[in-house]
Amino acid sequence: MRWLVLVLLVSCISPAFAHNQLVVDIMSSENFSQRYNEFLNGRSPLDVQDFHPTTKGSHIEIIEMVLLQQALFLGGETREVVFNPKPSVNIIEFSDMISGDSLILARSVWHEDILNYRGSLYVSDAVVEFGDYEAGLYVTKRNIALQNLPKEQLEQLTVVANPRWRVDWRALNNTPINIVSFIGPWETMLNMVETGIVDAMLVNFSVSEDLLLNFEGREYVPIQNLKMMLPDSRHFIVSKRHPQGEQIFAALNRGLKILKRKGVLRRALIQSGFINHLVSDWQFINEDMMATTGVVQ
Amino acid sequence: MKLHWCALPFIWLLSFEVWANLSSSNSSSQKEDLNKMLGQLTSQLKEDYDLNLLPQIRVLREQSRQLGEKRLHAKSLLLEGLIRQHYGDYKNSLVLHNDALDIVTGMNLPELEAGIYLALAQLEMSLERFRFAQQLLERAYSLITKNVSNEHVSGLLAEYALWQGTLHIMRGSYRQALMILESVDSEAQQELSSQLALTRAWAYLSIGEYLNASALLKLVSQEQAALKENLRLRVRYKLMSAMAHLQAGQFTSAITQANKALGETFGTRFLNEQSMLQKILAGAYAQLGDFEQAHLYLKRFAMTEQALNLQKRNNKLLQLEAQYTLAAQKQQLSVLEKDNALQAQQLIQHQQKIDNAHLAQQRGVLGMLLVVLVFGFGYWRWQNKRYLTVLKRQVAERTAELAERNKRLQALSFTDSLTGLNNRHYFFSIIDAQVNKNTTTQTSTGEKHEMIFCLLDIDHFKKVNDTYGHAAGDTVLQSVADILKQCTRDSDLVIRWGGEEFLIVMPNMTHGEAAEAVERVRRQVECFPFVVNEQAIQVTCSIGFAPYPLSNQGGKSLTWEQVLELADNGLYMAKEESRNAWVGLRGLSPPFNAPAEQLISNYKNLINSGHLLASTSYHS
Repeated sequence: MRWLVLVLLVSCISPAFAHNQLVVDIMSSENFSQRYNEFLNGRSPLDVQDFHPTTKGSHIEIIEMVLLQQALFLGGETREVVFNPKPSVNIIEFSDMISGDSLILARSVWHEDILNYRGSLYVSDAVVEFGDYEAGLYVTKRNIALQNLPKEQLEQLTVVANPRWRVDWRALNNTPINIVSFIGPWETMLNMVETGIVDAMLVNFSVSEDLLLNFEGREYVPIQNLKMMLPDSRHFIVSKRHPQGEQIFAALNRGLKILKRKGVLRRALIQSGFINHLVSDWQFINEDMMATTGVVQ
Repeated sequence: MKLHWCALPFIWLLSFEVWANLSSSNSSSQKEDLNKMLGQLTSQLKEDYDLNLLPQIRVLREQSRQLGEKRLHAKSLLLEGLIRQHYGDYKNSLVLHNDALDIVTGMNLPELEAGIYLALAQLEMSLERFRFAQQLLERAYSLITKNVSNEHVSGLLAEYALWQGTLHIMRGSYRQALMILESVDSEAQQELSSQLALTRAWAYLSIGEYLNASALLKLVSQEQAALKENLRLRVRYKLMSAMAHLQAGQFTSAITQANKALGETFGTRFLNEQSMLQKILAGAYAQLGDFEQAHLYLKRFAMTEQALNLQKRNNKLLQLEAQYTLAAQKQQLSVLEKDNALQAQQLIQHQQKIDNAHLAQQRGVLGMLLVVLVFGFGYWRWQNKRYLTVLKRQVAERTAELAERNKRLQALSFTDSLTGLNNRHYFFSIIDAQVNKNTTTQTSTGEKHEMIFCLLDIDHFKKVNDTYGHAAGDTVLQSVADILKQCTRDSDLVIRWGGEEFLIVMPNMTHGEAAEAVERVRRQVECFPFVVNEQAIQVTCSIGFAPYPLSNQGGKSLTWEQVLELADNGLYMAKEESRNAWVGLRGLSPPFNAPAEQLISNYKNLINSGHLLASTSYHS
């Protein structure tokens, strides 16, 4: 009897408990929790107003975790958010999201990656607008000559790129740069730069003061005064099949609009260094791709 | 490939041009026929790239070539190029296109030239050589905007925009594609505008703007005639529709459209479209929850992709091979160049060696020349010296000889040739020296040793000459000379004084000794058996002598000439007195004193008076 009471209690509480939490999927490969906690530094994610980085390295994914929670909250979704790590393959293929097994993803996705799934996914307003995503061509720090390569001589440059990163691939394809196609770990690509197989690699600008990228003691710097625009926008996605999908998406998009209106979204990107003020006057390599005539976002 | 359907506007352009041609040139019925043929072929090509059209195209090409119709020739090449491109023979297609370009270049046909550039750009896009394609498009654009006549500009610009837009989509610059496609004047020809709309829809769909795409697709759907006629256009339209439905979440419609399109593409080479359709189907089925169908189409999609990738790989491989061949050729060339450089270096070294050898040779020759010169000089010097020595010796010899001759000459000049005695000339040359050398010494008997001047004359010599001839006279003279030589000392001078007169100078002799000597001479001559003409004759002589030095009482010495005159006076006196006699002056009898002139002129008187002391061989 006592057991029966206990079972009944649990069965009653757990939905209630579950009801009080919002499970957000996150890529297990990204070691988010430590960096996330370091960034929060004891703050509640909902209270974060200052998005300046407390850790080294670009951390758009951490900022997005915070922004997602703030948007949901502002949109009326007051439940506590719980992050649920999932294998990256699942997330890239969006199969769980399509089937409704997953509700929402903590990481924004490139718009072009989910074009064909828009029937199954709610796509939020852009977290990163088209044209806001900038990256540099990182070369080894000792390669002084390449660091000052002028735009006119880009055809001399060889860059490694992953063709599965469609946006990077397209960006590079609209420049005179030579591309070496490589499908594999990011670290290996960096190592290709290190060992001189290629000259450079397209990497988000580092938030450090001199834009220096330090990876396992090796240092990389961007080619000065040149930046690449990654030609797509990034969005949060919510499953249409999930029972809570519609509700959560409504809250999320509502909240995002509020954040955008309040300027929090842009401030977050700027303060975090994602939109890097150090390169604001740098020259675009692929500015032609920005053509906006006739495009209605 | 993705682009094959895009070739249609080009075909349309060709036909357009052909009809234009037709209206303008009716001169030749043959040309007209050919133009008609081209028109038919291009319209047939619109339906599908039928391989059976190739023989006709080749006939057209051959005939137009024979007629010298370069336009038609170029167009026929392009038609075959298009078919080859459609069937994946990119290499030959490229060759044909370039052949056409070669024909058209310089013919001032900018429309056709621009068209060829656009076709070439399409070809490069098929090969995913986007940079080349971009360059070709820019060239075409430049031709269209600068050279093409106004009537054709808008059509060609629309076509250019279609290609440029397509290229942008292929490179992933969708917004750029939209910009260029929207810039096109919609007045363009129906079919082309449908394609432009479809490409625009494609660009919209690529950035997820399915609503805009749907609107465009709705417009295209109204072009029933074009859709009915053109398979490619139809498939493309359905593909875009399916894509738009999928993005809109209308899975069932998407599946319906995609299936229809797939049905149309069956048995054709629309691999790109097939792949896209299969992917749409897989996506749509999956989102509908029909995973079995999704899996099926995913599998088909994978197979099509694999086929496409194989095709791409083949093309890339061909490109790589071409590049590798080029690289290998370059390498070979560089090796050859290096080899050449090495050989050139070796040649230079050889040349240097030869030069060095030449130099050494020259040095050697120079050295040898120098040695020879030195030797020659030495030899010359030696020879010279030797010659000089010889010369010197010769000179010395000559000098000696000359001296000898001179001596002989002198001797000759000093000698009387008849008697061998010295002559007066000799006497005068030495007498002064003899006189100075003479020293008067006193003997123990008180007599003085003096230099005795003694003159001898043959008595009646003229008679001998007259009687016996001059030869007899000469013999007498020779004999007298011999006697004189015999009767005198070596230190005495015996001179033939002239004619039959002889002078004897006897130094260091006392008066007595002189008297004895002259007496001996007188006697010898007197006794000598002269043989003249084998006849013995007698000859006598008269002699006078005087001593030197001779001083008068005043202490004044007489000169040897005066003494000689005194001797001559003595001779004269002896002749005068007796002949065959002698008169010798001893000195002045003291205290008699008279000047020399007086002594000479009064010689006989003074003797006779005893003022002059003299001895004679006769007794007066």
